[in-house]
Amino acid sequence: MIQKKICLMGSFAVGKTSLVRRFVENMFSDKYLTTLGVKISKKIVNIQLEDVTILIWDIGGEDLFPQTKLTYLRGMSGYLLVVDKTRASTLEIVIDIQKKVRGTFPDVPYILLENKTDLTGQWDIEDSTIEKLRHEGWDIMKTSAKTGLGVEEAFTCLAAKMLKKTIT
Amino acid sequence: MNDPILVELLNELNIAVLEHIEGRFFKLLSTKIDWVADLLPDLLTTTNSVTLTDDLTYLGNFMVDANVFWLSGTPGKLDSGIWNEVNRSGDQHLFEASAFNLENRRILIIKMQRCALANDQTMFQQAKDTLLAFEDLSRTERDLEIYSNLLEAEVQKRTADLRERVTELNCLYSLSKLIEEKNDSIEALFEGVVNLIPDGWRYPEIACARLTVDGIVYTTQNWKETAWKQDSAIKFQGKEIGALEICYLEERPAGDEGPFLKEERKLIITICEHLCHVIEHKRADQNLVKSYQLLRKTFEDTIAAIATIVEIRDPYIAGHQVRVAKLSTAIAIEMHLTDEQVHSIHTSATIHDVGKMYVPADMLTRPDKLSALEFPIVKTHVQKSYDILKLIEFPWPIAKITLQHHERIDGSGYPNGLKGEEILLEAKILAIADVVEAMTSCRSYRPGLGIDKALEEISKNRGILYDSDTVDACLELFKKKGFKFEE
Repeated sequence: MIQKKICLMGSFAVGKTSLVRRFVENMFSDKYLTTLGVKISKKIVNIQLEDVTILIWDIGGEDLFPQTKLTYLRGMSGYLLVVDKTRASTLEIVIDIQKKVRGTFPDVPYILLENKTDLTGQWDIEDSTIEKLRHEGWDIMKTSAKTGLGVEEAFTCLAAKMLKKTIT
Repeated sequence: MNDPILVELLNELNIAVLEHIEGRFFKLLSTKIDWVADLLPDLLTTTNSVTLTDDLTYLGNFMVDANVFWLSGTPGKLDSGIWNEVNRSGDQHLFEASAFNLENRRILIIKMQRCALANDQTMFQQAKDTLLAFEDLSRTERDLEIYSNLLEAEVQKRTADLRERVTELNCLYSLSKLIEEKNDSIEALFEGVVNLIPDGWRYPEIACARLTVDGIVYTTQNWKETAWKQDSAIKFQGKEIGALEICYLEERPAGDEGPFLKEERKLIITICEHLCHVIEHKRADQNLVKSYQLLRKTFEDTIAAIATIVEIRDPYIAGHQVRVAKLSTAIAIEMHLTDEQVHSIHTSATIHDVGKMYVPADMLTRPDKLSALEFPIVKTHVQKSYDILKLIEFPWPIAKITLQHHERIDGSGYPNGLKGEEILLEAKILAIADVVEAMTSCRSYRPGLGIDKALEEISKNRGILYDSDTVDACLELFKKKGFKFEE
């Protein structure tokens, strides 16, 4: 069976662990518990009639992404950059992370996830900013680990991109 | 590792020590305790050796860096960073690995984190919770500032709007006051109105106005027709009779209607409606005045006609009533009576002898004196005058004045022998004027006695037969003011 490594990166408290939990266990908790170190989860998905084992590296969020953390990304086939749609500062952090990652892994596919979209009254990231990133070639999806909106689609979409890369 | 104390120590510290042999093959140097067995389920008990499987994903990733480190022979250690593992029982534990180069031996230690890390985790958790709370606060502060600015802008806008409305109201108020105060010509009113108008507009310093009514134009001193104009027609009974125009002398930012506001459109319409009402009232007033004047003339002509009828029968008294009217009016004015009193005296005097129509003409024109029987008949003329005049609804007590003009203040007069205050002031004045004129003029039965005799008569009987103030006024007229019956 094909095995693919996906890394989740982003600032703290954006919902990385909740997204993994929603995707792998279909569960959610409102309580925020910071992730220390790295948590690795596994799920088998079917992409284009093929079973693929996805190894998800949930990397504990910090606003600084030191060079040493790039070792966690070794062997990854794709990555998800997660922002909290109610905190505009988290977008600046993933833009910085993406610059660093792209330097070492230029051809690895990624998707930016606008998480916590269920909190519609508190959105803090402007649509114009997202549109600007889209114009620059970023793939962006809206998700909510709480409601499940877009979560399955985000992981399977990235998995499909990774397989396309494998084929090519 | 044979030292039992060292072994015991490592167990207490939850440290597993492995020696890298080759590839993924390791030998366990420390004791195989529970968590080690859980983490490395493939550990062979007999040889204490293990091959790291792919299940140990994180550790496998670290091995790449560790191998590079060992090959380099660099002294010191290389840390893996913390990672989570879930054991067979489903419990989650945190681990950290470190690679060492020790005397050419490649050592790997794996530490299971317990208390210290639990404290670290709590500390990290608190720090991140605090950071989140701080971010929330900053966002709230930022939102508050935005809303505060928005509110401030809204307040400023509404204040400016309110100021505009107050200006417009002031304009209407001033207009109303002007209309109330200006009781003279309507032209003067319009002059005042057109100069008030610019102050009601948003840019009064560059505003000018032109008011046109019935072809007459009134403008402000700075009037100039420009492209920035607002106007409204003045309509009277459905017909356009004029217009009000306001112009700005310079360009200003666009409003609802060029540079003008929709509120200013309402204002100009309201002003035109006010002006229309004013015109309506003024025209009605003018018509009323004309009617009144006509009526008055008719009234006076009628009085004069009545006087003429009486005098036709007695040529000796031709002009008598007119002269008495002239003198009694002059006395009333001299005594500072009101216009109404003066007018009533004049009217009464003009027709005071109307009752003489009932006196046989030969008694009026007989050249000799009347007999004792005839005199009472002549005296009835006052009652007859009263009987005729009481049928007419004069605005003054004309009938009563004529009835009393032969009364005397000592009660010796006729027809009712009234005394003092019982006699109307107007009748007292008429009495004196009648006596003075009668004595001065010719009669059928005697020549005129002259003005001196007449004045002597009233002076002699001042306060006895005739009212003292009235006598004084009459004497003043003749002696000091040169009054004459004929001019």
